Amino acid sequence: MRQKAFSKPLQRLLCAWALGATALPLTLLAQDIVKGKDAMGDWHKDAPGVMRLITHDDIVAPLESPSAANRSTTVSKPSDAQIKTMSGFKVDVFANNVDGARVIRQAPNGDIFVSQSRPGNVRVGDGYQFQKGKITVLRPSADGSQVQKLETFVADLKDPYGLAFYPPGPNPQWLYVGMQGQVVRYAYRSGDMKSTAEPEVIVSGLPVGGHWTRDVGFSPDGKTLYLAVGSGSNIAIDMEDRPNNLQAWEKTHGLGGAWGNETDRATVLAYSPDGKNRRVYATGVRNCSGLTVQPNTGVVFCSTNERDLLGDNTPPDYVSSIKEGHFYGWPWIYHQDHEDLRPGGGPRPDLKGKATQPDALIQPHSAPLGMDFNPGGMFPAEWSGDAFAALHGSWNRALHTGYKIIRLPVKANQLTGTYQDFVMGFTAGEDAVWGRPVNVRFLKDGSMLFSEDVNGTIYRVTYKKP
Amino acid sequence: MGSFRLYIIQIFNIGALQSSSYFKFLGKVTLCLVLGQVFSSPLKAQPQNQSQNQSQTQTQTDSSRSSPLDLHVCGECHGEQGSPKDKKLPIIWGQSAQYLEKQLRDYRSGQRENQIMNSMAESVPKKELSLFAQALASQPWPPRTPIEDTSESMSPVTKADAQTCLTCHAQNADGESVYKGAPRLNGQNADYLLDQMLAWMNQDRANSEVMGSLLRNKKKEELQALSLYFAGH
Repeated sequence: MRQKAFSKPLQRLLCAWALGATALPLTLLAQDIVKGKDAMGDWHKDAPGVMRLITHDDIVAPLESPSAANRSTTVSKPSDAQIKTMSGFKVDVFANNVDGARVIRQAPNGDIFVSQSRPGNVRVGDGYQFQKGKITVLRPSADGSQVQKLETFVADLKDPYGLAFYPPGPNPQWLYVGMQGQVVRYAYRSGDMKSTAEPEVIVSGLPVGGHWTRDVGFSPDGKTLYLAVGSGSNIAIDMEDRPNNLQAWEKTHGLGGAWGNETDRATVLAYSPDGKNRRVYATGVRNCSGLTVQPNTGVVFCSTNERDLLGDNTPPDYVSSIKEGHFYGWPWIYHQDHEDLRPGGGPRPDLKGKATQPDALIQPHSAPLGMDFNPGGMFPAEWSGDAFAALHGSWNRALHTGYKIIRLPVKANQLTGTYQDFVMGFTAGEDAVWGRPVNVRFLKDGSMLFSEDVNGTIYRVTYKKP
Repeated sequence: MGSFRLYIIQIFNIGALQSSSYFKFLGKVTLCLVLGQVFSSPLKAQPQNQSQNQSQTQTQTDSSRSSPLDLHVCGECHGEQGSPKDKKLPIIWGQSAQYLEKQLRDYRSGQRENQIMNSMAESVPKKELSLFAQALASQPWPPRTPIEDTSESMSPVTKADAQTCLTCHAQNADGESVYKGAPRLNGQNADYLLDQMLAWMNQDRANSEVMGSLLRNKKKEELQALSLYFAGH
């Protein structure tokens, strides 16, 4: 029964392979889309190529199933464990022992920058490898398959996460780093693998506590710095009384802007590259841990984990375009018009219907973190421009879900709402996992890197037409 | 699925209760509570020891109002008999009530960071936090498998440091703390202790100034020795 959802495409795939098909059309796999409740399976039902579609109409009532506590235990890779992906693709280890690997960015010269946000919290084998946060540079070999040289760009940082080169284009002069309390930038010249100068503080005084992943990105014209500041809590349950004049508050802090200890949190902020001209770009995005600017349009995208404790199947997480001045619901609303009465400071029924519906709904509790757009050049041509996201995996669900890389098809620069299981196999039974994907990044050659923070591995995904 | 899962019951402030789903929801809560009563007898949130600042009657009255399943939910990760399977997690049964309450409050406010605990701490109503912490504190500290006494092999520096720890944390092997707000370290999981000391050192955990300053400049090896010492103390 478990196999039912994907037996057809798999069958086709196997038949085609057995018959010696030389070029298996990948669209073949896209014909069976698992929809609605059927798309909200668990890790047993994951299989390469399965397409899923969850829409606003599929949103399940809160606590239709009870809220579960099911934290995954993390283990080393079991000897029989295998990563699974679609036909024609190969997943190889690119780098090992990159503890706490998070955001990955490639410099124009090909060097790969990785933020190791909290490497000290990662246990390796029988002991700990403890260091403060740092940024590591990996120089790939000529064929791109291995690390030829590794250097620490800068060490002893507090929660380094978001990375962005500035100005955009072939000759960046700076590397911007988003940390929990501030954004700094390091002078950079092509080929630098070690920072030599003191950083310049661009944004200071960012809130600390709660969601700590401060992602950063630039508009293609280099005029705008975007910064994601996640919420301080799950659902603002202890938020203080509302401001006396809500209208005036929202003028400064945006429609649906939270207050008290959540002031200007769950937002995307915008600045000039020098850190001036701060404004609230969008509100109600619970934790945009994968802020990405679509290269050809300049549209800001976020991958976001929605709220916890409402049951196995609600509310969906999302990957979405984030429009200026829009409100995405947190904490009072989710998905346009579903009201949440838990936040402190009282309900906001006035916001019902005023929240923007996100583009692509991901199975609840999957925990999408990093995302990127495929520039083309290696993966199948029809996948050019598609988005890919890393699902860190669930804890607030009876059976685990997530723990995989997904593809989100893009048509006319917009997410179609569907997504496809792309790389998976990190679960080891009901409780344990040996990999939790955190970030994806396409390289200039069109191959894709993704990081996972259980064992500190960076994988490279390549494609050859079968 | 192997072991049956235990669930969080939120009997307060649940959001988005559209009228269509409201009664279905209430029915489920009732069902879960009934099941909870059946399954959870050894884990009911009823402090067994009389709290020092609270009369017995008061405690019992309050505990009857809190959800009987809440401690079960903690047990899912922290061990159904108080001993976590994952040794990176702390023993919370029998821990200082004052300490547990502070941690729950800090998790709610984000002062202490942990993705799961930041959410889980919200599932205890604010006014019941204190009672809830007492309920956990009144459970028996789990029996521990004796581990090697490492005090002999400790360096003089580490020995001195251990004495410093003891001034607040514990005077004897039972883990009775001098200050009620300081957690019991004796017999705690070594992996957890080390993780936390590293987190203090790195300021990933920052919800006590004293601990932050005490652990700022330690060596990893020294912290490892301390964690083993207290785990086996």
